[in-house]
Amino acid sequence: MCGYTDITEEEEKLEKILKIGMFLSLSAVLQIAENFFVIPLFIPGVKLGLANIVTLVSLYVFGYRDTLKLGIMRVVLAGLVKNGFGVNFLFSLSGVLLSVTASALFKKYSRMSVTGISIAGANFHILAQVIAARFIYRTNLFLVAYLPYMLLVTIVTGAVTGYFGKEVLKRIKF
Amino acid sequence: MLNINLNKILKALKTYELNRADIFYILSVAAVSFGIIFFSSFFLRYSGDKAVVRYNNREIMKIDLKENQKITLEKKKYPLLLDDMVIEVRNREIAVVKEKSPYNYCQMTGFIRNSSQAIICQPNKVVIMIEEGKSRSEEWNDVDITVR
Repeated sequence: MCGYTDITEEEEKLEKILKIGMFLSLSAVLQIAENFFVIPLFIPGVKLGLANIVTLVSLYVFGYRDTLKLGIMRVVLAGLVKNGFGVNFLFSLSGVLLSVTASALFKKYSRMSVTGISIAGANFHILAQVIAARFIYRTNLFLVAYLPYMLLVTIVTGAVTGYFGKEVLKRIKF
Repeated sequence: MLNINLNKILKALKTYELNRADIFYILSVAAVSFGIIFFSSFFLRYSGDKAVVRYNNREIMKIDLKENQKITLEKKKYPLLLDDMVIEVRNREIAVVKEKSPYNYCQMTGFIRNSSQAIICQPNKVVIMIEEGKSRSEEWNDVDITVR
């Protein structure tokens, strides 16, 4: 009986690893696919953040710790496959760390919906990247120049990814 | 007309299933953003006379913004560039007008003239910033006005 319980726990662990692996590959594919869509805006470099749909769903399915691990693995994978481990890696890593942490805190301590959490995640993602840019490029007042516009844009992009995340959560069973 | 707009807003809220907490958060972020835009446009925009060009994280030149000019950074001299890059100074503003990169983001940035802005060409390892000069409020203080 004791042995049977051990096998079930192992199976559960294996199942979780498989699911996280599936989420990781999906987020990597979405991140690569996103490079084909450039949003024509007066601020260069704005992206929808399709991979954040996976991060959002993961936050509701697996919780904070596993989502943070998933986010870090995605950034490392993107570094290995495409971007390398230079400035882009630091931008992505800072964005993931702050956005996942902020989303988890909002999820725990506020009554915000899935879409709202996604918007908050997008806001904090860009906040982390602008702060990183401030230190990497040592630009004066860089925050003031870009941050407010980026915050407004990420309300929209966060709402779009949040909408997809919400629809996915309605349809999948874990 | 107002009804149509309200209906559209209500429909959008239903589609995205936003609740009161979401709307409060969105309005707060929007208010902070517009506040920063308003505040910075009056107090924190520093114009300058010189632009600093950094290549691969080291300063390679300072450009005088008082003089209209075109400067070419050659790939021969700066091998990390993807191709020759042309920088233009016009009416105390500076822009990258020709460069090679996957999305041409730094060309899209256009002309800048405040130290709060920067042109970042990450694929070419080039960053252009304007050296801090006087803020707009300081410029106003410098203008001698006599009222009689």
